[in-house]
Amino acid sequence: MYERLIKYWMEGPIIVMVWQGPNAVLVARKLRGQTIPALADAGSLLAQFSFDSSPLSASLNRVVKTFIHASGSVDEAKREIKYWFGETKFKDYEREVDNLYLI
Amino acid sequence: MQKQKALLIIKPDGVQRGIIGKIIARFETVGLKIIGLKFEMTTSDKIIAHYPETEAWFKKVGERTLTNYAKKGLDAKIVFKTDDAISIGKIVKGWLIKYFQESPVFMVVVEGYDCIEIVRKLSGNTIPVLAAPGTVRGDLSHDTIDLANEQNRPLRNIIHASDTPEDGEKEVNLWFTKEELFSYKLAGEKFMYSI
Repeated sequence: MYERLIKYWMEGPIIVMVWQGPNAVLVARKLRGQTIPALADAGSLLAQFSFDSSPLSASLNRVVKTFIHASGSVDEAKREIKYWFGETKFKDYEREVDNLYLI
Repeated sequence: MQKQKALLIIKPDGVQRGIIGKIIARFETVGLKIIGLKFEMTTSDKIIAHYPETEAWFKKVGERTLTNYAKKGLDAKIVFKTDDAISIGKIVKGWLIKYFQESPVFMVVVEGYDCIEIVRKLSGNTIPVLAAPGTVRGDLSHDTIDLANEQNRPLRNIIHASDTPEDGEKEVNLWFTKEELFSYKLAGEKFMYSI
């Protein structure tokens, strides 16, 4: 399982990014949808762009191609950001829209 | 036919308006391959190196500015305190340095056949108000020279796209290291190019 997962992640370059906002983890998970694309709710990223499923992936001897990872909890996010970005100092900048829902 | 590389920079107005993804998607869906990506708060030095530090460039920009002013019957001297093209070009470059540092910018390197021609076409006329519908600048901005002049600032035109194949190479090498560029195959390539 682990080896197949590693193989999948190394099929090509990946894009790693960090998002910030109120309830960012919850919002990101919601937009991504349930892990198995075939079971994900319509409107979620996984449902919109894939129909992969466990039976299909098993028959092809590979992992389910879930194409987007999103941290599952705030703690997980902290750990993963540190893992991928190390001590990177993140850009501190403001957008006019940031305060739209915060004041 | 040789593949070309082009540098795209989503400038601070594009970043601020939350349309980075929307813009990049246009270049992705036309079939160009993204081979490099980064989000960076730039420095003055980098921007100075990005725009040619030559008399010819200052003159070109200065003259273009003077022509635009003359067309509108405006006096360039009021804004620039000079009507010398090279001096005006230098002032405009100063504006650009400030503009690029208003927020982080999002940089993308794309690769493909006739890549330069395609990114120029998709980006549209550098003056948003003149850019055709269907182009990034035409669809996502409406800034004009008049307004920019009135507010003593450069045109905010959302995106930079390399002008020539030579500029593409030069700009990509300025902003990206070799390790930051990727060589890989896209699933659709076989069907786009029969290779």
